[in-house]
Amino acid sequence: MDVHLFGIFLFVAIVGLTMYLTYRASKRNKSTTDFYAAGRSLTGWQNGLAIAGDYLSAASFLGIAGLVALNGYDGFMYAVGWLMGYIVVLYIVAEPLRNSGKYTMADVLAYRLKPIPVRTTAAIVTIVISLFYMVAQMVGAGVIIQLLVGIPYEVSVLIIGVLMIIYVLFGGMLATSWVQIIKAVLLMFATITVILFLAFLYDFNPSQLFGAVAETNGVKFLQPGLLYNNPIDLVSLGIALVLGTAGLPHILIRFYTVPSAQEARKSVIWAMVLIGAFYVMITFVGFGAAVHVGPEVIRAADSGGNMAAPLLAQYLGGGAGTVGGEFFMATIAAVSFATIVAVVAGLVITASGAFAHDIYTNVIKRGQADEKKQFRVARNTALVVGAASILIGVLAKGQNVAYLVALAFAVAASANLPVIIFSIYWRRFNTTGAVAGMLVGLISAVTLVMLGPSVMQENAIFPLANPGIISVPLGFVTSVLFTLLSKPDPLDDKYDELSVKANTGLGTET
Amino acid sequence: MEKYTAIARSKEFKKLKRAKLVFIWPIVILFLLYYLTLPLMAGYARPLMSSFVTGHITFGYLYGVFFYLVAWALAYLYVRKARKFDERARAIIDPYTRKKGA
Repeated sequence: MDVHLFGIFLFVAIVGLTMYLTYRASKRNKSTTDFYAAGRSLTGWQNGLAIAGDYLSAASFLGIAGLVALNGYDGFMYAVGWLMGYIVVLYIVAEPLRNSGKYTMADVLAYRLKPIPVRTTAAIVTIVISLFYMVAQMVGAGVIIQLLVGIPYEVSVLIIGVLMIIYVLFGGMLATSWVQIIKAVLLMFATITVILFLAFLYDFNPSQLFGAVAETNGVKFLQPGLLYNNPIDLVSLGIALVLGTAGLPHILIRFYTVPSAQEARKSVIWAMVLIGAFYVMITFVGFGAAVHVGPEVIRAADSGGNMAAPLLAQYLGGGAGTVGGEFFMATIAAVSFATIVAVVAGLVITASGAFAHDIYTNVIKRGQADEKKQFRVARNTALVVGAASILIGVLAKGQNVAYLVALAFAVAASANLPVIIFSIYWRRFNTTGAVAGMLVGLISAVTLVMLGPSVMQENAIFPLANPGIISVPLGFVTSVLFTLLSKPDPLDDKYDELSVKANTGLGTET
Repeated sequence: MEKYTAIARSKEFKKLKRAKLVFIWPIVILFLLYYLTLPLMAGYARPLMSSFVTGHITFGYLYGVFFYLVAWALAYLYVRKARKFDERARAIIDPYTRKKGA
């Protein structure tokens, strides 16, 4: 069988399956609740898989495998932080958010604070985070697909962009969720297969693999220090990862797709099992690539290390030029493709919700737009957001945008998390504190990155690549100070209502 | 919306809220501080992190993998505890939800 043909077959199969699901979902995509929240029809495990599918981007799959393959222990340590944020999601945010909101993160804030200013600010923060995330995905996608399949950058971005628009426009959140579920299953399946092949080579004994790593790449590979030499920068990144997950708008809106707080809880558990297992396995993939492909070859294929996992798969399948090797490589390429479309589709819905639901419906129209009109605006916004993403993706070609994902986490941790926590848990919190906290969190995180080594290289004014250690406390302190220095909002009974709703689920949106 | 005010002022609800806060916050804060020991140890305790515990497995690797186990254990603990909170919450809103259905 022609190997190239197999790759195309897999690609067509994934597109065909997702299109069929989008067609099915389109029949149930009739209202804003369907469009933003899949009609709240998902079960806990479905949403858990979708969260994993939304969260595990190509940057995780290809990027972290590469980071481990090139830097050993430091890459592994970097991967650990990605699961830990879900403790904050589970303990503090998921259930109250599900119980008290409707479609967007801003719903929770607007419930008890003055809706116009908090919605406007929260929508801006949501759009900025989604934009950073989107640009990183689009540029990464263009490069990765070019490497894996050999089609030009611009064409890759266009194909991914058009697909995500079709999923979102016609199938809304339901289709997006199923694309994410399929992607999560494919990604786990592909990773487990690679791990099993690797495990047979090493008699299921990690110590043997580690020994081979030390033998081929030196014992330094098993020790900290190859990539990170500034522990404070790493602490700063750690703060952003652990606190940022619970402030990422595209993760938060996933909790509106289930019917109750109990299902929201179940979905975090499912997501934690999958995401944790994935990051544990990806370390072995990276170590395997370091041994069997070698850092020089990986770097030669792509300086960022993105080809580590595909090249390892090729080796395990029999090597370059063999049917098995090319078969494995094509599978990884197809899975990466599914991974990218699933993540960007979720981002389009998130940004559309922030504009259409928060700004258009609730700020411009003061909540007076009828359901039909809201639904139309939501879909039109998705079309515009999608088209804009394609354009930005093409324009950002060749830019180093890898730092934008970490920046998105830092903004989420600095601007969103403080106001979400205070809105739910602090009675005295007020609108002034929320708006000031969000703006200071957003501006400080972005400014520090602009002044830092990611953007200014050796001329950096701010020494750390990650702003979290400064911007996160700044977000919290600003929220508290501006609240205490201004008068309380005259909406005290609204806090009671929110608190009862959040803690008991009484009168929650269904 | 008097029912919300009535519930918010009830003794049972206040007790439930307090029980939740006392359970949630110490665990989350300690966990965050605990997580930050990973980058700090990797930066300032390199000999320990680089030492071999068994075969070619380093202390640093085991220290890192242990975080996944702690996270999963905390998730399990939360689910068990949350079920009890669910029961108490249901008892509190029960009179109000029944009225609505009738």
